[in-house]
Amino acid sequence: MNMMALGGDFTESEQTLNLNELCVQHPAATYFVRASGDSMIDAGIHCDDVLVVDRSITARDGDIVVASLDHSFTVKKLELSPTIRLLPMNKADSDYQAQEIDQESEFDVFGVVTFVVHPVR
Amino acid sequence: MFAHIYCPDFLVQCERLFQPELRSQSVIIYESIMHHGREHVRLLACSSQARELGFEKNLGSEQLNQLLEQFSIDQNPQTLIQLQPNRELYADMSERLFSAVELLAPSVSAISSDEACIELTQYKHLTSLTRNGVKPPEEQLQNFAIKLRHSVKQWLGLEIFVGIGPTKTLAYLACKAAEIALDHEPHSTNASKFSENRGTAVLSNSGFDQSLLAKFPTSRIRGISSKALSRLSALGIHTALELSQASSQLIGKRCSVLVEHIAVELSGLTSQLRSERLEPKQFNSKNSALSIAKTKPTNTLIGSEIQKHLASYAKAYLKAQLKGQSTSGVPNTLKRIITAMINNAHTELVARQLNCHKVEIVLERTEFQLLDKTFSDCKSISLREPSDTLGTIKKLCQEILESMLCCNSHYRSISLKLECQDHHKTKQAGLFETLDEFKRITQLISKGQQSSKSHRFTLVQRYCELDDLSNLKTGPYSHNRHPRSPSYTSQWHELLRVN
Repeated sequence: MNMMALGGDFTESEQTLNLNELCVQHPAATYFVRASGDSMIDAGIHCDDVLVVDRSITARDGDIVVASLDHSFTVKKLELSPTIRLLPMNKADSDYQAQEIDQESEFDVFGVVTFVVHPVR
Repeated sequence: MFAHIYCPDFLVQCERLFQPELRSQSVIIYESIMHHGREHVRLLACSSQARELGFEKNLGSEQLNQLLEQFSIDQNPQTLIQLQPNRELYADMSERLFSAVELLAPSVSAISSDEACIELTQYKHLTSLTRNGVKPPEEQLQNFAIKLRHSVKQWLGLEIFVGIGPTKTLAYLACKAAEIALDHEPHSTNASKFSENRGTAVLSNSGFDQSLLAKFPTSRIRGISSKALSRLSALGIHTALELSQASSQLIGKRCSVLVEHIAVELSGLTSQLRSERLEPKQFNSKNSALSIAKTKPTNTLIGSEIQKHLASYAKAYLKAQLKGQSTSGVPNTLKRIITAMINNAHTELVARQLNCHKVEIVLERTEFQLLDKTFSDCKSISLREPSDTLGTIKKLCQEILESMLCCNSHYRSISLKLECQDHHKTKQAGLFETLDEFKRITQLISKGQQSSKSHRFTLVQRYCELDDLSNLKTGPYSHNRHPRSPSYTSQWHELLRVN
């Protein structure tokens, strides 16, 4: 009987590790998007990676954010001072230039990138 | 105290969140339904810019058709964005809205997908104040409303209106007032001065501004029917203020208990609906005799009748208990049936050369007692890749069924739906088809359980063949089928892409 009880106990796992708990702090404010292009490769964001975006966090200087700039979404590093700029992170490719945000551009921070899901094979 | 939150143009706001290019555009969301061979168009939502073009939610199908023709894509490509509803998105955003609000105030009761009422006594910062009988100061309530609005804006990107009042009706009125105030706000440069309190309104208990109630027509109060409206206007009551000042008993007699309840709530007192109105009414005139026939008999029950009803209920209950004894082992029977159903569905799949991409099971059951009202549970799982392998489908079905079965339930019917992709043509043949083999099984089961008549299995097997998007253009609908918000999806491979 003791053996049976012991076996029973083993099958009842109380808690397993859940990746959602780690990556999604605020489920109501978290969205997933997929990166495309290699403008953020130095930040570890490769093409086709899934980004975990948290809207509940207020973006600070230096955060990697998903923002809508002139009606299209982009992922870049946010610089708040001296001026608001979106910086690409790819030193190897000089085609990517920092984008200045002036008063005329329609700019809105969608959310702050908190995790990058990158497959290694 | 209660708070009422409302998200205006919820569907349009959801669409705009993932499609920033729609933010300043006129957007309408509509769907076409085929009914008796005719196409009906129904407007689900429109943006404020579209309302200026003449679109309204309660437009008839024909009027809407005319308007749509005016703004057809060929003529005015930029004027009007027409979208098909993306219910996945709306359901998700609605759930997010309520869970975001619940973090600030736990006692949220949803009224609809974009509207909720919050009981503030449970709000942790206000509890200590209300518990001692002291009403929370207006400033604190105003701060709460601003915080609520701000956090929903940040978390979800949705604008909401927040109204707070001592009763639910007054909170609703405050919410509407906040909406009206924002609509009429001048677009001046010093708008930032008002920005703190924008979209929120608080009617505190200590003598709120009654001019708001005076401006509010009774027709805009929810819950008052057109019949009640005409009766109120006969009494000379046209605004919320007049309704709140009128004698609630008179209102109750002339209109309905509901309107009486609204009138009491408008005067700032919480009323318990129907609490003191359960006594039988006295009816004298002929008209009243007519209305007694319309009302439910439960309103006029007296002692002996109640006893009679109780006795009959007890009898039914006992009967059900007896029948319940013979229904042990139902889950096993269910599993046997589902296996047979899958086998047949699979044969059908192979015969039609189809691939299943989604499995759905609907279980109709009663809780605790056989004679209780039935309700249906539905659960579905999408396959990673469309498949016609028997093992895969069987495994999925068993997985779904395992998670749905629960003890103390009596199952009445089960239905299996396999959604398939057919690239060649659209058809819905075989809907609700009962195959011979199932008939045989049903007979077997009914023989085994002849004692319980009410407990029978209806075997419904559904095949629903969905066509892919390219076929939709040539479908029976004359209207252009615009893609539904492409940026939102529940499929990993369709995620929104950012550069």
